[in-house]
Amino acid sequence: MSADVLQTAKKDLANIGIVFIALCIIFKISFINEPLLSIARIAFSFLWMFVIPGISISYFFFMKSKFIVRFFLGFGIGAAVIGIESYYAGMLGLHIKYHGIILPVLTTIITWLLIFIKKPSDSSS
Amino acid sequence: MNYSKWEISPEWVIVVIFSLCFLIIGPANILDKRISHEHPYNILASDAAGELAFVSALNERGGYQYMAPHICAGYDDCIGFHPYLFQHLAAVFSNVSGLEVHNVNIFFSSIFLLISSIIMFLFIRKWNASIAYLSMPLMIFALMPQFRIGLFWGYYDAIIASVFAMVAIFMLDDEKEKKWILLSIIISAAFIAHVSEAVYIVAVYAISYIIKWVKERKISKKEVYFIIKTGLLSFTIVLYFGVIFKLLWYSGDTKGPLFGAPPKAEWYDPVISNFSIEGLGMLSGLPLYFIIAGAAISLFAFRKHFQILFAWIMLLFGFNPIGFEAIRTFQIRYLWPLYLSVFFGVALFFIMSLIHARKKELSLAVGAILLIAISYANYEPSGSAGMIDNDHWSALNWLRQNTSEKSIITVMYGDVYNQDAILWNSFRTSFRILENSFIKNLQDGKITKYFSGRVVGPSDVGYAYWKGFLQVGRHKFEEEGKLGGERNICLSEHIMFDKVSRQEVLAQYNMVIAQKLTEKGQFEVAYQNGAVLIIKNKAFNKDCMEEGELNVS
Repeated sequence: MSADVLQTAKKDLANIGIVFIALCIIFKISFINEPLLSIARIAFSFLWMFVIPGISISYFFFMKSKFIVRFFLGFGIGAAVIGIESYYAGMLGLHIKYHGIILPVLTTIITWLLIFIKKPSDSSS
Repeated sequence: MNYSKWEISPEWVIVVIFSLCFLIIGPANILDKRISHEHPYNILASDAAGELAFVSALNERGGYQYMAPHICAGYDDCIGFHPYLFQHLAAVFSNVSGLEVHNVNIFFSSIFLLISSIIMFLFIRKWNASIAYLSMPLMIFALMPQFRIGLFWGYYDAIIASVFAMVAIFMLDDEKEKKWILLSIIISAAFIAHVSEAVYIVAVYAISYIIKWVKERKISKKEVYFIIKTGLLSFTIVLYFGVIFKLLWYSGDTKGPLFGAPPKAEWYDPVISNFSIEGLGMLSGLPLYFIIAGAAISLFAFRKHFQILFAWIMLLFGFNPIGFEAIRTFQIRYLWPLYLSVFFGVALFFIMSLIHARKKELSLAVGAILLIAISYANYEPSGSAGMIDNDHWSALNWLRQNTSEKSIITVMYGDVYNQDAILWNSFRTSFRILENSFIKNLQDGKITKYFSGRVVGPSDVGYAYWKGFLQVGRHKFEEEGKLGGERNICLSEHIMFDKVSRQEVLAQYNMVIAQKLTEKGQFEVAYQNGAVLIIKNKAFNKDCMEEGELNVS
């Protein structure tokens, strides 16, 4: 287990918290007619579904990159992984209403298990 | 400067400004400054209504091995053929966010377009931060009317796939050989979201290797392994959909073999029509000149900088007249403001260099000011209910809740029903009376119970079903008479009429027929609102109405 990864992950988690607040503010300014609670849940959903699993995976590939890179690439990576998983999970009979809880958790846990087993080595610029 | 504590870097500053401009002139504007609406908002084409139906059906059924029967002309064995990644992400997002499915699609895909733009920015920034800041103002043009039409028309699959394309492209100049697993996942996701983008990714990587080979005259063993491993893993992940794509899409409407040349698509649309020169004209004036100037300045830099190479490739792909991808090039052109943004940045940076203003901070300020100015100058309120207003949405929901799952709904003339995927949202099979049949009867002055129509559904692949291992049958061709032709509407279970129309006479004719049908008591009014009337059959007699001449007075 790399202490670096854990350290970075802790910082990233704090940064994700800040992004969540910023996202709520940006969404509220843009969608002024949408209730704040709804906006907070929507902002959280993006982070939960895509960013948290994606950023975990990104430690294998973009460890040395800045948080901004891990965040946005993590979003894309998370969407790719959750999307593929969701399709096959649905085919296997797991109803899609459970995917939003199970898949991000499962992806994040498996990724972190792999991080514990195999120290991520990054080559990104 | 030390930005380290909370990582509030200049990149975040421009990203926040960009996001605000993007959301305000884009989705917030389109959606009337709210995400939740009572009905699907600002849907302007069948594709968008179809995506809504796909996501709704998936959300209800839980999986996508087979199409929902109400979408697939009543058949319950249709293969889930439509690229499915967007549908799954949107359905899951609907569940997590608590947003109703009909509120998800435009907003959700807009956010993906935003993420695509930001990854493009980060990709350019890897090469030159100043050029990246100066590139961003062009990206905002993706939200200008000619370009954002993809959001109204439902090109969500392509938008989602563009994020994967950007992630893959971002890795072009990394030591990508160590990232083959990630690249495989990304290519696979692009493939099952929208095949074209996977093709572009592979093409860009292939061209980058060709250029490397031309420069160095060698490809290392490591790179060969990288290509093989990435190819194999991607192939494995997409195998199932790949087979579906090959059998159902790539063979068009024919029963083509798994391997072999695809027939030429009948709906082949080379380049210029649909969207191209006019679209580029949207960038008329200075932005267009800047793109041309930037492209010219950077013409000889493509071998050094993948950012330039990528922009040139996407510019040329936008005019691609060859092969299956030719019909999809307009979707690239919708995203030119992203893909070509580096040209804009290069041109601006060149000018700033001429006056010795090359500082990053200055580029950041110029980029931010231009972003705000362009957004402000081009802001034009464009919230509108779209094709599915509240009355129509209520009627569709009424059908869903008050008719049996096997019901077939006859749908008489309505202004918007030629975009027939709207009707898939009733969760019931619909038999739509065709305009020409309806109008001919009206022109002939006839009051009749016989109208021609067809069952609506995504017939792109002929309602394909598995006939055997790697063999598909197509209901559309095997049971053609069942899906269309002349019908006696007296035998319809429910009939839906529009009470209003842009051409009043059409709505009046609808009402005359509805009145005739209810006159003898075989039909009764089951539901109505300001725009829609639904009547229900009680007896199923063939002669339910008096036929005759239309009283013009």
